[in-house]
Amino acid sequence: MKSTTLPQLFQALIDEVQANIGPSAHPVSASGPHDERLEDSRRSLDEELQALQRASEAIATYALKRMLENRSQRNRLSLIHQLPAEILSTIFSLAVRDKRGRQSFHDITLISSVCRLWRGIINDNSPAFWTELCTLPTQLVNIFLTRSRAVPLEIEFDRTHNTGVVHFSDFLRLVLPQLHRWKICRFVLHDRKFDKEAIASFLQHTSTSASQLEILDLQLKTEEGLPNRLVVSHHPFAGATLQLRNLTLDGILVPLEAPIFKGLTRLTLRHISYPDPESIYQLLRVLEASPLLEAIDFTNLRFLPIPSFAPEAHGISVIRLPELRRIIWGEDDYRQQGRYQTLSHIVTPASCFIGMCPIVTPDGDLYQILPLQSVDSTNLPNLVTTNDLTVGLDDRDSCALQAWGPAGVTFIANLIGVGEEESEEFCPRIISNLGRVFPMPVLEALELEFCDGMEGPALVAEFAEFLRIHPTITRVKLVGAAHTLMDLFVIASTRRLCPLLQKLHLVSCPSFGKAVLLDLVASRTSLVAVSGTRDIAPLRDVVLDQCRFICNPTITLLRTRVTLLVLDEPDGSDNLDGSEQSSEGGSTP
Amino acid sequence: MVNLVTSDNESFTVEKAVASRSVLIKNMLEDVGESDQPIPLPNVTASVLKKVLEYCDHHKNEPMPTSEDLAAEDTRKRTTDIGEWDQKFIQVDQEMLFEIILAANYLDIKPLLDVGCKTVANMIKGKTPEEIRKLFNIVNDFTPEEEAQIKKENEWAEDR
Repeated sequence: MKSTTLPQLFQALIDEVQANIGPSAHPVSASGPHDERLEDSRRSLDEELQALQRASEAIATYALKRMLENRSQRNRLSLIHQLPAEILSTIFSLAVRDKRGRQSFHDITLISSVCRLWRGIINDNSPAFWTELCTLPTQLVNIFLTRSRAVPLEIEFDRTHNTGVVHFSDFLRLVLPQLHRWKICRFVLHDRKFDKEAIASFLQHTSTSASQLEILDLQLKTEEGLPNRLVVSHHPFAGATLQLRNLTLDGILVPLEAPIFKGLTRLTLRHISYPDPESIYQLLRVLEASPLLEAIDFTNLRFLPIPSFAPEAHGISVIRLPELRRIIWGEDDYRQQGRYQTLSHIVTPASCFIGMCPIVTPDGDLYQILPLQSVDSTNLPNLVTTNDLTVGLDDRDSCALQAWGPAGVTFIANLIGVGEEESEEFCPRIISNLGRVFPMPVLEALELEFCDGMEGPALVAEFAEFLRIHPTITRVKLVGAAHTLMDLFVIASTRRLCPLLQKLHLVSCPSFGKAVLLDLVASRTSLVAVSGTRDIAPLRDVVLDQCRFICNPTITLLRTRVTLLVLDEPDGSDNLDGSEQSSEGGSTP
Repeated sequence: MVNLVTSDNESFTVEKAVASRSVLIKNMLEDVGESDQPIPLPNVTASVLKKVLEYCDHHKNEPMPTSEDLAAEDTRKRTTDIGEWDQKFIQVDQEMLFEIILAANYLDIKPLLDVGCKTVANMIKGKTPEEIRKLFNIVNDFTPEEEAQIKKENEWAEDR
């Protein structure tokens, strides 16, 4: 519109008003004799005033309308609005996500407050912005449901993040009619009466199919981790969840024969106690019905003991899970056999990671945590590929194992021996069985972590046996080890453990002196002096980390034989052990 | 070599590997076969094409995103991280930035379109509506009723 148009328009408006009102009434004196004339004049003036008021309002409304229209038109000329709405929508979707990729409703409202064009793109043409209904206040739920149109929804209610403003039952009442659109459902609730009743009611009323549901995550939490906070006796969603791939149930018992347990790629079951003796077989059937499983997390699952475990008798053959990348099995009851029984009947790929936190019985050992004699000798092949093993002995009744293979971590287990706090047998027993239960024919790197006073004669003897049956080790790292353990690495005519050892790394080894270390290095670098050592590789590298016993002359001597790296090298004459300094007899370099 | 002609009638002769970063040009070349005919790009000016070709040349040895890659990449879950070289490359004025985005969209160069969109998204992030308006030369055109609704929604957002 040209700049002269608007003033012309206003003039036309004024003319129109004047035409409607007519000429202004002549002022009439109130002191006139005729009351009737006075009344007519007053009425006429009132009408004129009202008309002027209306005209003024009409002009103001019109001006505002035109002003906003002009502003909108001006906005369309902004450079950014050269971009089509689809690209602007993409930009907005990126702008409202945090580092973790989660959408912020606060940022959506900010961007939609910029101008009408942006608001229109966000509210009316980007339904994807409105699909994440995460613990929303009820006022917003309807807005999200409307603006998301028919796009599948992500429904989440997390009591741990909700400050109490939103009531689960109110939230559920609004979203439940859209069950057919649910793609993700995640409810994390506390085991309190109102939450429990609401989720029980939810599961009772899910008698219609959830045809688009891909992820179902229902958690009813207690601080104590008690099982079976809720028992569901029917099949949720009328058994029709064809798209369901990821299922999590925490504290909620759903019968294992329910159709929701079919065709899954991720299955998480926690804090559930199954009352049916057949349940362990039902669990195997669940695994059988989901051959593409990629991840399993079973924590504190309890099954009734059965006299004999015979899956074949129940028509269940070996279950092959070729896509499995991760299996976690945590327990708080050492009497439970579910892990052992299940692992003995599945076949995983070599790259699968196994994580466990088993509590072993009094006098128990590694044989209890993994099946020794399985239905298929290669059912857990990832352990065979282990080339790097860490063993942590932090206490008399606990042992932490971590194993790596070529593809990364393959196995983690934190074993706790029940009733073995005062026993000195638990750790030697674990070390003794390591190589037998976990065959590691290609083990190259070994790390051993001890706490003070752990190396009794029994442990050292079992450790020697472990080294004997693992001759492939080339790198050893000892953390907190004492001289009795170091002695094992000295090559002698009667003992040639770790023949391929090339690198020795000592960390925080305060209690052994230089003599053992010098013997060790000398025996492994002067091999021609010892007969029959043709197959022993010379030691090349030694790393000393926080080994304050070492003095500079010793360092010098070691450097004549191996490549030595001292991570906290003593400076000058700060020999912490005077006897070593005197026995060395050399000068500090 | 491929000959590209811009809307302002300037010719660019570039390696096939560079030009083929554009799915549009790649498809054209496949359709036409071996030919010396110049490829007209009526929606791209010379100054913009020069920038686009600089990007394509830098990334010419990288694998092209497959349809599976594109399908797997959920736009909504992406972050706005941009590589170091791309960040420097995209440090241009707003006019050029939007022209590059339009050209990337027209020429179907998905990674360049991503870089452009992420750059604009990063310009928006953390700013108030008034700051965004100022940045992009936009004015407030909401009616009082719309303002009231926005205010209400903002309060709900704060309450969460």
